[in-house]
Order: sequence, then structure tokens, then C-alpha cells
Amino acid sequence: MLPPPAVFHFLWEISTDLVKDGASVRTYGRLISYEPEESKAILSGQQSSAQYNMSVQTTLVEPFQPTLGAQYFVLGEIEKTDGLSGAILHARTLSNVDGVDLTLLQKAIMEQRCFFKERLPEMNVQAFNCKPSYMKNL
Amino acid sequence: MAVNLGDADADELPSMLWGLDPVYSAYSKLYITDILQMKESRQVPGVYFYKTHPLFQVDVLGTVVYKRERDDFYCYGVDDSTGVINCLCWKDEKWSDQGESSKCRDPSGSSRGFNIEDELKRLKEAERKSTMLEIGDLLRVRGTVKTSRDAREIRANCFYKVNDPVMAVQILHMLEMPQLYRKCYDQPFQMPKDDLGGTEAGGSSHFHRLLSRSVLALKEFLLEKEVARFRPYDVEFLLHPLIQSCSAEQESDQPGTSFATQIRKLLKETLSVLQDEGQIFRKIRTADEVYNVTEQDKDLHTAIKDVLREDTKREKYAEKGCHVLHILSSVRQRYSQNLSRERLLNCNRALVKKPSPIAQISQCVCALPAEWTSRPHKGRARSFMTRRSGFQNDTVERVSIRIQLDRGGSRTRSAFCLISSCASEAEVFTMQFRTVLDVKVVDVEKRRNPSKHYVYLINVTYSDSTSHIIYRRYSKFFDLQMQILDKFPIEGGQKDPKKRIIPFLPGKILFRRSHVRDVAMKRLRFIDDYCRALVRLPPQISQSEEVLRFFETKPDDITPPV
Repeated sequence: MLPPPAVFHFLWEISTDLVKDGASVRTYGRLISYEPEESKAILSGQQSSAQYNMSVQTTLVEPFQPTLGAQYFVLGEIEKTDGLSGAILHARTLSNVDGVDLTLLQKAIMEQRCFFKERLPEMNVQAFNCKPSYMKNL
Repeated sequence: MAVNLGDADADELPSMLWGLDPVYSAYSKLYITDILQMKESRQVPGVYFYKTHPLFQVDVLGTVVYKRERDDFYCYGVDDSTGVINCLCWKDEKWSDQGESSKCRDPSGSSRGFNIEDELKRLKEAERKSTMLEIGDLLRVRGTVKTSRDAREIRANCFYKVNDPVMAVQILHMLEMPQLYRKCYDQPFQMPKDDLGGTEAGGSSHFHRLLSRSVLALKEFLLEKEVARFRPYDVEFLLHPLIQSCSAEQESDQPGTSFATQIRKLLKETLSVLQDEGQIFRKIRTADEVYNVTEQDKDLHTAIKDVLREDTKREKYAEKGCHVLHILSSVRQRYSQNLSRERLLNCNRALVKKPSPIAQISQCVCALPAEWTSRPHKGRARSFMTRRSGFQNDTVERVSIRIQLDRGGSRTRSAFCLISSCASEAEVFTMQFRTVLDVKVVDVEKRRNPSKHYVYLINVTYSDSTSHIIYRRYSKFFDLQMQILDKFPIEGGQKDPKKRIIPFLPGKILFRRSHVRDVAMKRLRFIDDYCRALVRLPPQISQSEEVLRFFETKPDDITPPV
């Protein structure tokens, strides 16, 4: 009855195999285009000087006030269609978070991931750079 | 199934020491996935263990991904990216009357000065708005963890919408959680050291640990073997492995105590704990120590059933049930003065579990007003109780149990009743309605109070083979019919008139005199047909609470007014 938890992912990870088809994700990006007739929005993110785009199906979260160029935080399910480029995110929630500190957000997500990796003993060999930047001496 | 005294128990901190762990008293900020996976304590249900820490209160922050609203509560599904959990959030009564006040605010706004009433209204409105969330909003919940129907959920003590326009709150939450885990939750619980001597504190906690294990072992043994009576030496063998395993672990902290002395001491303490809890008791205080097990005590069971059967016939208890203290004093008079309240409660719980005509009504931990309405209704009652109680969350649980009669037919039915005042922790029990086997309307009688009307004399035969004449007037029949048609719309033909199985009642007379003998006599035959047809309907209707309550004898039926 309750939907599955939506794990944090970055835009550039979604098109890779890290995210399976049908998975629930949370992600964020800048709104660069919106087509109300087709309920399609495109979010974009930047990582190591490469632009990543992702299309978002906004049927469930309409109507909303689209502000082009603003940062949006979205939660929903991924649908991967073979053939077409990239995946489609069917948004269940969409909120304008313009003004968010992107670097801090990224750090926070990495920190949390590191911690989760630590907790799983001997399982996944770290795929991420595990340097908890806020770890103090205990 | 042999009781494994080895690891399972050793992992859990004994309940006597839980208060020493600060995590236990705090609202722990845990990831939802941990809340969902943590194990329930074997010693006390309702308390959970995250690694070595006992806890029952949590604090979560997450996005609302599911919402369900009822008159008196919200149920929000909260997702914090590690898991999703349902949060039950009761509405505050004072908000329900906010409807008009928000509109009658001063429109001019030109009034200078501080109008306290307006400000209070605006404060209340703001409070109310902070509890109405939509999917996608950020919610903070602080509450107790409950497991109901195999699902974990949080019963909120405090909940509000968090305004997070630039995600600052969520980012902070993500950063601080790992630290919190590393510093607190993942650290094993350390017993605080006694200043006088480490061994003393260590020794007593060791003994406590041993004691809880032995209590658990003894309880499980008595349950499994269905022991009715025993002497101490019968159960001594259960404690042998405990003492043996612990003396292998560490050197004895009390030099000079033999194995036998240790066993005797442990046994004495264990039996005393079980006695205090009411699980076992001694009927006769002789030198020969014989302990009886409460659950198996048939005499006590029968005494309780007799008390309930008689008392629930009286008007004072008929609708509201018997308070446990009343049962206690009545049973003490007939059975034994030496009856503790815990023992009675134990017995009642056992009775309720078995098929018997006794049902538990409610359990509440607050003071309720005495002027409880006499027409109980499920939903209204629950919201009434939570509104009046000092606590907003689940301190009131209503239990509706399907029971089987133990004699006179084996029909199942659900039955429940409601309680009135209770001073402290209380449980109330009552007997349930018997079913109706046969009905015959035999005559009509004139009554003068409260005004002139006619009652029908109905000869009812009950499932316990007794029969009685009851007196009912037409308007009561009408009310009953309305209730039944409301409750069973399909059987009442609302969707499809052809499917109607509920019988027709002769019509209400609206425009002429109805309280005349002629009318009553003419209706008699139809009322008789109606009653007969009603009790021949399928059990969900013919044994529903409304019908059985209607045909049950009331005090006026037993001693009819002149």
C-alpha cells in the first residue's frame, strides 16, 4: 500500500545501470524546458563539465508553476525505455528549491551513502569515494 | 520447544536496567529502515531494540508520499529515502471549531494596538495549518513505535509541516544522522560504573540479567506444559543451566556461595517476581509451598464468569460493563480474599483469549468523564475518548473480539461495549448478548409514562434456553429498523430493491392519532411478522449488535412499571 522508499541519486547516475527500471528515486536538477500539453519537463545537471539531461513526466504533479532556470527537487519512479535516449522519471512530487546550496547537498548525499556502505559489512566494495568529511574524533 | 537460554536472552538488556540508557528516554532519530527492522523485545512487548539500545520513541523527518484523512486523524506515509512508514497523527479537537472564526477577522486592519483575541485566533489557525499536509510536503513526526497487524507504524505525539524552501533542513538532517549513529546508537550500551566499586554494580546487574532470564524460562515452561500446580523443587531444574553457564563465564563474585545456595536464591526471587505479576499464587499458606498457576485456575474462571453474568443484567452495568475493581471486590467475596488485582487481570486476559462469552472492552490510561453517552457508536466513541483524554494518541484502544458461546449454540458474533470513568489503568469486561431463537408477539398493553402509548408484549426465547416477555413500543421498532437499514444498505434493497431481504415494518402514522388501541391492535400482526422474519435473517443481521440489544431484557422488562 505504501510506495517503496525513494533513494537519492544524481542525474548522471540515472542513465547508468546503477538505477534499475522501476526504481523509486529522489533527484534534483535545473528546469530547462516544460511542455504543458505533453506534461513533459526536462531537468538538467552538470558534473565534471558535462551536461546531463533527464525528462520528467509531470502528470501527477500538475498544475505547478514552472520557473525556467530554477532548481527543482523531484521524487518518482524511473522508466527506462530501450532505444530512446535516457530514462523518464514519472514524478510523484515536484518542488521548487531554488536557492539550494548544490555543493552542500551533494556532500550530504555522499556522506549518507558512505555511512550506509560502512554499515553493510563485507558486502559492496565501495563504488563511491568514501571520505566522510564531517567525521570527528570519537 | 526447548527454551533456548543461551544467546537470545543474553543479547537483550534486562528490563530493570532500561531506564539507565538515555536512548530509552529520548525520541531517537533513526532511519526509517532501522525503525522497520528493529526487533521487538522479548521481555516487554512495545519496546524495541536497535542493537543494544532499548527504545520506543522515535523522531523522523521525511517527505509525505501517502495521505489518508479521517474525521479525527491523518495517516501520512513518510519517506526519508531509506524506508517508508505510516504515521498516525490525531487531530486536535480545538481545531475543529476553527471554521467560522477564521472568517470573522477584522477586515479593516486599521486597528492599531495588539488585539489578543485576534492574535490567538491567528495562532490557532497557524497551528492547524501546520498539520495539514499534502503529498510532497516535508513532515516531522515525534511519536511511539507501534506494531499493528504486522506493520510498523508511528503514533505521533507531535507532528508538523516543515517549511524547507531551499532544502536546508533536509541537508542538515542528512549530515547529522551518520554522526548521531556513530556517537550514540551504534555504540554499545555501557553500564554506568558505581563509584564505590565497579564489581558491585556489575554484580547486581548480572543478577538482574539472570533473574529476567529465569523468569522468562519459568513462564514459558508453565505455559508449554500447562502446569496447574507445582512445588519449587519441581521447577528448580530449569535454573540449573543458567547458573552453570554463568559460573563458567566469570569467577563467582561472592566467594563461598555454593551452587545450591545460588539456585535457591535465584528460585526464591523468580517465584516472588511471578507472584507479584499475578502469574502464580499460593492458595493456602502452609509450610508446604504449593504454587498454583493463575491461567489454569478453573475456580477463579467460574467465579469471574458468574459475577459478570449476574452483574451485567443490572442496569448499572448492562451497557457500560464492569470495572475491574468492581469485579475484584465481588470475586474476592465469593472466591478468596487473597486475590490480587494482577491475578485477576491475568485471568481475565486468559479468558478473553479462549472462546468464552467474555470480551474485553477497552483499555485506557486516562480519566474519562462520567457522563458518557448511552448510545455507543464506534467512530464517535473513539474520537470522543481521544478528545476528552489528556493524551491525543493511542492510549485508548478498543478491542472488538469475535467470540463463541460456550453453551447453547455455536454461533460467532462480534460484540463490544464502552466504558465510562476509570481512574487509572483499567480494563473493563462484560458479558455479551445471547442470541434469539424464537420470537412471538402475544399482546398489546397500554402505558401512561411518559405519555400515553401502547407496548407490544413479545415472548423471546434466548439461546441459553430461557425465555422472557419484553415490552416494546412501535417507535423503538421504527428506530431499530432505521438502524438496520443504515447499517445494511444492500440487504435493505438500497442498491437493488429485488435484493432486499430485510422485512418491512408497518408504516409510521403521521397525520392522525396514533396512540389508540385500534391502531396498536391492527399493527400487532405485522409487528409479529416483522419480528419473526428478522430473527430468521442471516446472522450478520439477526445477530448484529442492534438487533440483539433490542431483544435483550431491559430492567423495565424484568419489573414492568404499573
